[in-house]
Amino acid sequence: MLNNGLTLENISKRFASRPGSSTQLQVLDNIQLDIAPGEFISIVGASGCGKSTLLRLILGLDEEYDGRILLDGKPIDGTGLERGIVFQDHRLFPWLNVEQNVAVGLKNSPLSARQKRDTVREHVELVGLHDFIDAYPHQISGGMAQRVAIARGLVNRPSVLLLDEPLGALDALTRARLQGELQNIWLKEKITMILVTHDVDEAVFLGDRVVVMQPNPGRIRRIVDIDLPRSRNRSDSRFIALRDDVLSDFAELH
Amino acid sequence: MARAQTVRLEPYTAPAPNDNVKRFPPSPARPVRKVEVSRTSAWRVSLGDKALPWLLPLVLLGLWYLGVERGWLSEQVLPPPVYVYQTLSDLVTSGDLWLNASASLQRVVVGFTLGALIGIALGLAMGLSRTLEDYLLPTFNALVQIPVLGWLPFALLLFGIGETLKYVLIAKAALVPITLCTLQAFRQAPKGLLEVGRAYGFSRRQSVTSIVLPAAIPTLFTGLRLGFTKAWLSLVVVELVASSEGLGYLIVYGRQLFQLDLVMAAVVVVGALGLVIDRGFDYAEKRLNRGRPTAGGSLS
Amino acid sequence: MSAILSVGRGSRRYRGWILPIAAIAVWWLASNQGWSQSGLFVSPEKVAATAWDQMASGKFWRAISASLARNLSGFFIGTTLGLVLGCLLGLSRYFERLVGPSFNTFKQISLFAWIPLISVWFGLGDVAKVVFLSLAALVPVVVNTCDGLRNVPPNLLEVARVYGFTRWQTIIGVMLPSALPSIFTGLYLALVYSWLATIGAEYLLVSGEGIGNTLIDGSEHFMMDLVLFGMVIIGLVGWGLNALARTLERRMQRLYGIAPR
Repeated sequence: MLNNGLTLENISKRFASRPGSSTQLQVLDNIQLDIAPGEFISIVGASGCGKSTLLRLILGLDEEYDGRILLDGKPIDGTGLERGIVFQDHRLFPWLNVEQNVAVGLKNSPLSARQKRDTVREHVELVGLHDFIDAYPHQISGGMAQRVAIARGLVNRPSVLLLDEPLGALDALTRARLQGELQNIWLKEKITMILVTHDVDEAVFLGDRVVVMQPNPGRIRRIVDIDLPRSRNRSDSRFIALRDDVLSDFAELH
Repeated sequence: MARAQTVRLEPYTAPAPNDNVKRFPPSPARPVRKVEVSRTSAWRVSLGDKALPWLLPLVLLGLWYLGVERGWLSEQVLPPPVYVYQTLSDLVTSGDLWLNASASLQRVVVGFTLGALIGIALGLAMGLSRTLEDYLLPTFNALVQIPVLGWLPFALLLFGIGETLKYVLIAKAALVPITLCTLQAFRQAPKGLLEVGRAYGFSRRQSVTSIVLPAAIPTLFTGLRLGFTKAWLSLVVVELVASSEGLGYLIVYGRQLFQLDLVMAAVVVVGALGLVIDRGFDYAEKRLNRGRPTAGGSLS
Repeated sequence: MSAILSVGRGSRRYRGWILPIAAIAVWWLASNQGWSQSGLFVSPEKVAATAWDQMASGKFWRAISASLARNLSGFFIGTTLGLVLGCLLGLSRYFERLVGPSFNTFKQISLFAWIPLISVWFGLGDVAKVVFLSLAALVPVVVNTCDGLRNVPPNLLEVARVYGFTRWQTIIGVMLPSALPSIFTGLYLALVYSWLATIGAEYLLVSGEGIGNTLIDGSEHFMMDLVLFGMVIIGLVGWGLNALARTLERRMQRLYGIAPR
């Protein structure tokens, strides 16, 4: 067990398939994962494999499960500012502008007002939205809104940033660009990131390791090491080989 | 073929444990509220849920009964609940209830039908022809600003206190939302579908009957429902002001004779009828909207 | 719906005037030529003269200020109580089960049906009228406030949970701002309904002064000119309130990220 890292120990979760019925769905079955500090983990899987549920457990939005989740050696307890998240729908507050939305992340942080303002500005710059700092969510594009969400997720310097299909709602061109930006942010901030995606390309492009999950019940099928240097090139032969390797898992499942 | 130059960066290594970036310390342990819902407590919760709405009415009823018993208020100000119930059953058995209720219902139906016919015609005309809308809509809007109550004295002078007065006023009340909704319904014909019609050579008449009309039905229905609600509301007001039979008349009559039990009984009937009508529209709307996406439920 | 109520652009805008101008012209002609012998048929000049008389003698101002004063008191009382009740119903599930169904039943009953009861309990004077007006304003505010608070997008509530918002922070920082458009709709409806209720109250609780009283007076004394004058005034006030509410609505929409129409 590493210091300052995230450990998932025998995580299992069951849902009743219908409220009150006795049959149960095994959503997650004995998930075991050690994540080193500063690592970028991509989790891929088809729908229903429990990857989003796993994120919610790590985040603390859902506390009914078996097993333990340890951060820095200590079990997590509900939500906490040391674990941040970027949702698929940006979930910005429509009545706040960009700066205020990022500041939401600092609402309960012990920083002084001045420190808060400075770090908010810093993170808006980080995602390249300095010119739109006063804009409201309806005035900016989907890609920009998602960048604000990323800034909000990072603003209180969490130990772990969870990303739940953050680029899924964007068009392909914006997605490719934001993948590059995510990579740069991660290189700069040196923060542990856990990305859930159904896009294998994205997973291989961004991750140090790719965790492949399978559904019914949700299990880790295997973990693929991606030891390619950054910044990565999608046309590189080794990249393509690794990507095809991961993809082959899904071909089998049909 | 020339190879593109690739810039090789240093292979990535995990940062040393003590790097400069300050991490947010893990939050202090918060007491975890594990919600353990056992079978029996869940059952108890749902029973409480169902029983709770009755608490307030029962308490009020109890206070009412007590107030009358103890003589906190005179009988004329607050009749005993039993009296109200007796009056209600008297009304039913003596046939008075039927007499007055049917008078009211007849008025509302006639007035509503009148208003609906004119409203649909007007809305249709303005919806299909922009020219007509330009000429008529501003005047219509201006007249709409004057509520039914504003028209009452004017109509009183013109029509006297007879049935015509009520029909006219109720028609006016129903007419406004029906016209506006019809106008909107025909204006908001789905452009995409109309283009499909054009691609298949639909004539104007075919476009209207096969595309515009079916698409307009939900909004039309909303207009009719709103119109009827307003018609029912105006009925009560008009009957309160100027009538010699009807539910509103019962209310005024009881008031003048200080028979509050009669007043309350009539109010209960008005409320009950309104509820029945409302539910009826709900049911009709659901049947109409089968297969369409529905909006979320709410208090209204 | 206000989009369709806006008048057409440019030269088409003038078409809307043709009908009213033609109607007034015909009216004037009819009265001038004596087409109708009825005592009710008044000429435009007579109406104008009555209007002038009402305003110059101060009768109009007294009446309208009395009406508006009652209207505003009822509006404020009803709105305040309505906001409190609406918040309670929207925020507390317990309270909603306790009071909600009773309130739902109560609001089904046409408001005007309560006037006779109110007149017995509160008399015929201003108190009764303000009570009635407050009720008229209260209902839409409660309904819309409760609605807005119950329909906060759960996605945003999850964001609040993630960032450790306390219950109070969630209510003030997420639920209320999200419900604000709904609350404003409620306020707008309250404004409209309380004005309608003002007029109605003046017909049914006949005492004191007010624009509604002026109208009823006119009809009782067969003075069509007074009635027409009163109608125009009521329409103007209604229009004014509507315009006020619409500008407020537009300002709020701009703030809220809904593209202004």
